[in-house]
Amino acid sequence: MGIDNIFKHDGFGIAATGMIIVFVALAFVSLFIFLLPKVLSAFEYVVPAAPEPQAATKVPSRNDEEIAAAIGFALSHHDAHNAPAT
Amino acid sequence: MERFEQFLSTTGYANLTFGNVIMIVIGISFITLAIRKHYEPLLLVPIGMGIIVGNIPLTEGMALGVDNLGGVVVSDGQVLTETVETADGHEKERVQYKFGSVLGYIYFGVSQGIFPPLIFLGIGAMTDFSTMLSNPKLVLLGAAAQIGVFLTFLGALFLGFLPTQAGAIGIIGGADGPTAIFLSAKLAPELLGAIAIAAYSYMALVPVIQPPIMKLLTTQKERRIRMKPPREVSKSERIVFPIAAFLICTLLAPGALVLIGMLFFGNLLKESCVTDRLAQTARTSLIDIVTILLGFSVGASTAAKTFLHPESLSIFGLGALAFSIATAGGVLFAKFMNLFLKEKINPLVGAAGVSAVPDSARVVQMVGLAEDPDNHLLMHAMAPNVAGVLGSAVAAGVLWSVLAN
Repeated sequence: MGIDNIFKHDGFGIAATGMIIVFVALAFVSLFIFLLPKVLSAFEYVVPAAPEPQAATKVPSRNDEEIAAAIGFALSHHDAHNAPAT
Repeated sequence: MERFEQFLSTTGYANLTFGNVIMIVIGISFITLAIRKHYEPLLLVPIGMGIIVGNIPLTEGMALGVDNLGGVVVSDGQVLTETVETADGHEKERVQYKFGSVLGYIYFGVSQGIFPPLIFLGIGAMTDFSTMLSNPKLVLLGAAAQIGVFLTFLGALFLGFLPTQAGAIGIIGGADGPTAIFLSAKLAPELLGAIAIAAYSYMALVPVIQPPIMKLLTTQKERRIRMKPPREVSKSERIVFPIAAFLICTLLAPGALVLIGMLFFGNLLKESCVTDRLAQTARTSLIDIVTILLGFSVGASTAAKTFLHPESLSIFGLGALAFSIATAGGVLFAKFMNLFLKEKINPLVGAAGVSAVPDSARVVQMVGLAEDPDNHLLMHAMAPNVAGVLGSAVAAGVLWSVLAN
């Protein structure tokens, strides 16, 4: 008990070492965070990201044309039948 | 009648001690504080109920308490064996095994330090490091607040505790329950109950302990300092950070490997955006289950005969000291940094460096708003707050590395 117990177990040495290590670790983390945007933008400059693939324009196939024609025919047939009597 | 008397002698009523009654009252107080005052209810309700359960006197010969882990039966240094008949009628020798209690099996997760890293996984999956990434200098406040850990370590040595015990007591100043339990389990398992209860009690009392210290150490002008809003942080920064910060910290303090590894693993699950299901589980179901098991079994480990000792009172006193020094350390370091900074830091945010996520950040917001109703400090305080989690885990790693050898 008392200050002797601290000296006996090198308490001041352990406390100082511990505090320094915690500070150094978090200072490194802080420095890394500070540099991170710069490193990422440099990385982006050296290795640019591949451009986003553009959505391909859909070319209507023969089948699509046939389906559109069939739908058009059906609608006109339907309209013809439902047309008001004159 | 004899049987009835024999039964009566085994009941809790017959064996209840005054110490048990005190502990049961403490358990009820925890539950009352949680329900009436909303002080950390997710922790205090399981711990409070655990304290009540743990203070029912145990019946001789029944596996009921947290200490009853079971295991092989040993007599005179020899492992005992028994002869058993197998399904095909043959006899074989096997090691005698004594089964433990349910509470003992649950407490195994505490005593072996399994639960705290799992809680860190959940914390990582719910933590947004963006505010810290947008203002890296605030990380240092999380380091400064760890002064509470090391000064309390010295205080505990001064009071005559062994170095391992002093290390475990000092970590209360980290204001991080899982870290305190993890380190106590490794360095001083005999003090685990008292340390865990002290750590969680003071965490619940953060809104009471911190404001007077913060006001005492700052002027009104300082408390009104406005800080620039945090910048937008890119997705790439948020993904790279957990991996890099893990490497930086654990290469320096390998003892923090498990806690920091799980913390950043959880954060990577969140930020990668490709493991949403895993992140969701870690921050909801998993952390809830582990919190229930940890809180309840820690509470149940506080039986009066092991808990009500003068050294428990010393631990509570040192815990209060640790919290106060940590708060003061963060605030004073923010003032020190202001001597060199063009854009001043509101020194109140230094108090959030004690960890206790997110309560101490909320206290900073509350004290800041009391001075200036338009000055919202919560986002700024979250930076030292999460840095404090990191700092206390590193401090625990250092103490474990140094004191375990």
